[in-house]
Amino acid sequence: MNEPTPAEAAAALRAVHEGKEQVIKSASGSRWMWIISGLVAFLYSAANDLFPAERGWLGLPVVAMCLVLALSLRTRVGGTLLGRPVMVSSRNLPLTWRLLRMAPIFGIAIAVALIIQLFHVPHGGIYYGALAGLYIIFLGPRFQLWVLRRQNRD
Amino acid sequence: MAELDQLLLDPTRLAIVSLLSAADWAEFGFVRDSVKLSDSALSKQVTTLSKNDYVEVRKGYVGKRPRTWLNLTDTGRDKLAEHISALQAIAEKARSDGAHHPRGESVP
Repeated sequence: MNEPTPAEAAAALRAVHEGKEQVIKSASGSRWMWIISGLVAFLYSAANDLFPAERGWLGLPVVAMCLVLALSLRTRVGGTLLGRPVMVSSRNLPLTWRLLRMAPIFGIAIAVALIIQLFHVPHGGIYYGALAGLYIIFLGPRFQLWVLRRQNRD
Repeated sequence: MAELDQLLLDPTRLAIVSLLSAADWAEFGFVRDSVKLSDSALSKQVTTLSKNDYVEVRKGYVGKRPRTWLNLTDTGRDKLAEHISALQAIAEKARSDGAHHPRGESVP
């Protein structure tokens, strides 16, 4: 077996890293999915705030949509239908980092709840929905990339 | 000590396996475009990798269009991890040798 020279070994290691990076970058590929998710988060929170009597059934379509989306993205055919040609692996991602993906949404919820409590702001649900929606649309893909890159680095 | 893998010494196969190592599965077209190969060239490499149980190939339909998905098997992941360790050892050894024998210093 021909052993690679140190330069060839270093080049091969770079190629391995670049290959992984290509897949990770594709994780935030479907921009429209982030936009729709952000809009749904905003509309759901706003509707809950404006129509408190309808809370009982308002959550059902959102839960159904989340389930369909999550299950579709886990399957090959579903992923292809949603324009995702690759399913990024998170098998090497520690549990704490997986949970951390949800942390910003909970952080926003706690911050908004505190502000509403302290300053008696009306329609807090609308503000929360707007902040959570903006986070999902603009920062969600970046945060997802950052978390997934952790497993590439570790 | 980790050993180099004969199959993965080929840069094209290493690129395919590296790509798949970060994915649970990937469409054939995605891999083809990422590693910049033709359909037939990728197909040939995938056949070699799947014969050695590095890559699993699944075929199906989305609507009426046939699709092929690839994923790295556990064997493939283990072999890649060992190959990477061996490459790192080579690169590390060269670095430490370079540190012990700086350029210009004669080695007895």
